[in-house]
Amino acid sequence: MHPTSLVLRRSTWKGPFFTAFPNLSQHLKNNTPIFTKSRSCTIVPNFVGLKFMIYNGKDYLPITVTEEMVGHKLGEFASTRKAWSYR
Amino acid sequence: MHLLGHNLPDHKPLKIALLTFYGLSHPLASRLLARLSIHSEALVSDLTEPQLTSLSAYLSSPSTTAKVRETQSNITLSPPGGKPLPIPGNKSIVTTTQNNKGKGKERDDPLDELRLETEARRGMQADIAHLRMVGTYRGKRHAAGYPVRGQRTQTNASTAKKHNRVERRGFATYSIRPSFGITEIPHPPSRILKEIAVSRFV
Repeated sequence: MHPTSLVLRRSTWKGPFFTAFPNLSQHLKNNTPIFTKSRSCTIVPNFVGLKFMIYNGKDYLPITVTEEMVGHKLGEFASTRKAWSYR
Repeated sequence: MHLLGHNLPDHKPLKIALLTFYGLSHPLASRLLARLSIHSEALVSDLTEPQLTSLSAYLSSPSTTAKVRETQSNITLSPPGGKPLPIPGNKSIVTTTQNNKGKGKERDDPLDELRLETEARRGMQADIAHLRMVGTYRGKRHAAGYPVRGQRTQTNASTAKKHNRVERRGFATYSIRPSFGITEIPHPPSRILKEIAVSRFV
């Protein structure tokens, strides 16, 4: 994570923007994914190890949060573009 | 004049000529001149010998020279053979800096942690490699050679196609020798031809 990327974008006193998901610890324990549409939610350190199903406008894409992803947004990991190819 | 493998032309202002170093921007270059107490409009040919040595000492290892300067900053004024005089206004400056340190408000000088040349390039490439490894959209765009920040791709985007890749080459913002950095073409035509020849005839 780039330390400046968060600092430059947003006032420090606000802290990172994130959505508070209910029952985080239960999801961690049961290894069940969290279905979410909040793509703009910053990945906070206590998300590490969680499974997310992130909406890309059509489907929910599975993502397991690792330590390196902290500081990025959830939406960065679920592409909204369709891969183009010849038929 | 040659300095650490770069050619600084004598007729240029030093502030401009310093931009050949990758990682030194316009504001940082003028900051550096201020720190070394060189005039901001000085030409490369105007440099004196001690100024040159201090400049090359800083540019060869920015972080270490910065630390040395910090220890030397304690100024004591004393008349010849007398006891040290109180510096007018100095006391208040000292107290304010101490207060700022306590609050954590003191800003770090960017010159102290400046990364130059290969170090800066490596840092930039590491950032891109991190984006790619983690699997972000931005990393994918870098790998595909497309614009990263949502620009259109149906037309234009030629600059992105030229530059964006995971192992991105870095250029200084201002280059005196435009051929610098293009020492090795990643896929020289001769190599491609050779590969085709091998696949066809062997």
